[in-house]
Amino acid sequence: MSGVTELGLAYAALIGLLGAYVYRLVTRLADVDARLTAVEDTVSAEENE
Amino acid sequence: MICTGSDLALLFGLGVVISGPIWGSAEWGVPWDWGDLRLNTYGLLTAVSLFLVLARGSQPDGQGTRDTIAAIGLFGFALVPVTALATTWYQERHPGIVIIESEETGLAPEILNVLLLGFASFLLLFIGLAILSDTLQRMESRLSHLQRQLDQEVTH
Repeated sequence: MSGVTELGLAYAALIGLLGAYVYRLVTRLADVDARLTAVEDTVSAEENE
Repeated sequence: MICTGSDLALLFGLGVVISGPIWGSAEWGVPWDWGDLRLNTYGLLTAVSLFLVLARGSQPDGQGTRDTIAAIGLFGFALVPVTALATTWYQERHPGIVIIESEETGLAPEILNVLLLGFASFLLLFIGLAILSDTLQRMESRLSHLQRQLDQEVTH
């Protein structure tokens, strides 16, 4: 394997790692946001009763 | 703060620890040098952030856990200047500081521009991820607080 190929692999690994982290972060943000909205709706509905 | 800090330290640390040896095997002929102070202190720093992330996720929240995590976190904090100054004290594989202009060191302007562009890009990425991660931690904390409040209302 040439040096350039190994360098390309290193960058691909780095970009893949960053991409996986960002995907996980955004997915968790959307999930927690949906759950938080549901819980807040429940709490405000109970307060109105 | 410690959640965001340890997550991002692990992310960027793993980025270096995974991509570095691939580059090292091409450039130096060996992926890792156990005699190089910079490599080993950086590896240890990444291991500290891995411990912080795993301990936070697996241990019950209590005074003992918080004290242990804080103590290991302080060790990591003390390790940062050691890693930064490692190539000044002891040069094995890594060269000394090259961006300071002198008779023996210095960078060509085009390489310096690429380095500064890379630094600015990663700094922006770090700030963006820190804001997102901190927002997530706050939302999770609020969700947990509201769920406890609901549980208490149901039981009373």
